[in-house]
Amino acid sequence: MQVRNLRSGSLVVILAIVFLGFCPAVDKNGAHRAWGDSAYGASRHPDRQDSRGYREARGRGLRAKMQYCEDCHGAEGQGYRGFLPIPRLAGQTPEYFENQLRAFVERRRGAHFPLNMSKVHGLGSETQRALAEHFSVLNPRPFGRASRRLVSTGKTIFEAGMPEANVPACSVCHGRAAEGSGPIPRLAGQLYPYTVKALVNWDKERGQGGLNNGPSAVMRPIAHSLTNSQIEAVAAYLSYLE
Amino acid sequence: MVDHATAAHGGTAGASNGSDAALFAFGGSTVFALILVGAAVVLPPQPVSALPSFARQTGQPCSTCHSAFPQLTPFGRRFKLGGYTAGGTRCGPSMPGDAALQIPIAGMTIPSFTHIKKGLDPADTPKGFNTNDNTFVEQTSAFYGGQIYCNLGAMAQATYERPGSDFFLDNTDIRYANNTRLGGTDLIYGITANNNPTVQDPWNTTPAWSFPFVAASDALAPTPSAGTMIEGTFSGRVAGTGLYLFANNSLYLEGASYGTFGTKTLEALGLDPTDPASRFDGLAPYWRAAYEKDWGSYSLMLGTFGMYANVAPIGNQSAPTDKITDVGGDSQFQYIGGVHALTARLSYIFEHEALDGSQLLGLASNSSDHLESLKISGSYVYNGLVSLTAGYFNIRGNADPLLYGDSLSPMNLGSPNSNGWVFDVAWLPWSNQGPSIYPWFNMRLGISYTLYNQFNGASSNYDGAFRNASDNNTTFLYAWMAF
Repeated sequence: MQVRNLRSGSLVVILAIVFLGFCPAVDKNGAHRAWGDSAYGASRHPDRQDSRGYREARGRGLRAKMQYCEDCHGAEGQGYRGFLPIPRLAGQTPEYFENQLRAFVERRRGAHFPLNMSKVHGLGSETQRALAEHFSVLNPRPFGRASRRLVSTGKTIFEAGMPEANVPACSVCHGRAAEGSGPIPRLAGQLYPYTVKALVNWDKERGQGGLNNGPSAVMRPIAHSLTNSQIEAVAAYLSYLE
Repeated sequence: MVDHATAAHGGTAGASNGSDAALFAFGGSTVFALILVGAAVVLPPQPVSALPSFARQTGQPCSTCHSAFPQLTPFGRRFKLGGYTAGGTRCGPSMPGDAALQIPIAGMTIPSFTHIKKGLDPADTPKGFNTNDNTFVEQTSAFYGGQIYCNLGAMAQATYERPGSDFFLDNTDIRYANNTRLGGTDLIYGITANNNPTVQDPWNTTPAWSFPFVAASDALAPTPSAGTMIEGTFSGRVAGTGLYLFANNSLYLEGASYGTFGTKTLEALGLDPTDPASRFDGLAPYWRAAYEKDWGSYSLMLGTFGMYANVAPIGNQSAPTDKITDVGGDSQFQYIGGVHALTARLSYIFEHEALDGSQLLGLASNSSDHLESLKISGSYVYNGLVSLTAGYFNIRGNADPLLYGDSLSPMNLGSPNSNGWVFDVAWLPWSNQGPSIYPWFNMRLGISYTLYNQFNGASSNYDGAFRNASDNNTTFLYAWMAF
């Protein structure tokens, strides 16, 4: 068909939309996940906090922040295996989770990947704790998708280490099921490309902050002692671990 | 061409018809109705960019969602499908220490220079402009871009454009979206209310966001007369609501329905209700299905889209209409590495036109025509900073001397055929990080060259006045700035 000149007439456009920013819209789906009062800690307005409406509104606010995480990390924190591997957060220990958020705020992490974690700077400590608790109880199935051939070698390294190469068994700290504990992260089900990238580039990915960086500093010599093929084997084993 | 008395009369009859259609198409989206009624609507197909307000809201640099704006990465697609709400703080009271509200407003301006190989006829030149070598600000826009409230978000653009000095509501897409998990599969689902079929699409293969992303004004650099219906004919003159689903980051399904405004509404909005072929009778269905698979840094999308409408040839919906069916197939291959990014795009649209209305009015020679539109383009982006793009386009169909009245080549009278190439080189200095004084500034500084092998049916003397296709070859310099 004929394409005409689409321009016709002229009128002033009012950015009515701007004002819609202040219109109350209803968020019925998924917004009202039950959040225990404990997640919010003490409030300066205890009377307001007690009201059901206020609690629900806070739940909505937290839910919105959670969705920001979920946009990349997946609805159940299972991670994203696209052009940029985004780690699994599901089942992660809350302490480790909060430590990493702090590392982003203090710029000990995140200098070397293209996604910007500056949003974390805008999260109060109560919100951080609530997010950590939320992801810690999720347990989606791992992605896997690593070479099955490598799994048995990876399992051996994980459970027994390689004393001749000064590599202790991973399970000593990370737990027999790689479930993690306190500041030591859960590794079970972590994405294969993510684990590989972290271990191969330890100093860039996780080493910022040097010896002050707690458990990351402990991991440094171990990561350096592992060869790339050993790293791939361990990562493959972990990627299937439920 | 149009008798004003007839148009006004026919328009009265068509008014309620069109308004009802639009209302139906709105579905529950009264918000959109408010905006469209409250704001003026005229819409030439024009691009938008990496929105600084999106960057402010998400905390991400432009390069997270754009390989080179406006091309989207997989994250950009998810941000869009997620309703432009990611990272928004406009939802419920904050906890102590949480960040404050961001401002969802952004601006854009495109100063440009346009040169065509052979200048325009003075009679065709817009008032106040030169027949060639025009330097001016082509477009200035204000945006609402980002979260409105919780799961509701929008990208709405108001534009002032020259030549023509038009103010209009440009591409607008308002969404409610949510995510969930079903049987181990991530689902994003939502509802979109928009004013241009395909503006809601997250791939750069469908018409609204396809290459070329920015182009010279067609008032100063002639563009081919023929194009398929879905390639911008209704942009801004319709309202539609679509339901969509994005499953497992791979399968995208959408169904939408559009309605046109009634004559009185269009007149009230300052639009020409007799603008030929820009209105249709009843509702026009639109569909979209796409499957994207990724292998690490690589992704491949295969898809289809289309639309059907009972188009009113002179805007009078009570007169016999043309039945236009567009069926498109598209594909996109994308590689995004740490430094290099490659995107290849293919789009093919087949249009069947049953011209019952046009033939009766003496606007078409045949009772049915067909038209095909093929677009292939490839982009390479270095580190988000330099973008090289080449594209080929081919529009072809059977000749219809009355329908394609601009195709006056004595050798090929009434042929819609046009084809050629577009090349674009651009520099995006602040794609990864904005300038320190104002980090929300973004710019695409580029030069593009459009080359026509065939134009309106012929390579030489296409207008019967000895103008050749290559005379329209266009050099376009632009500074596309967003802030």
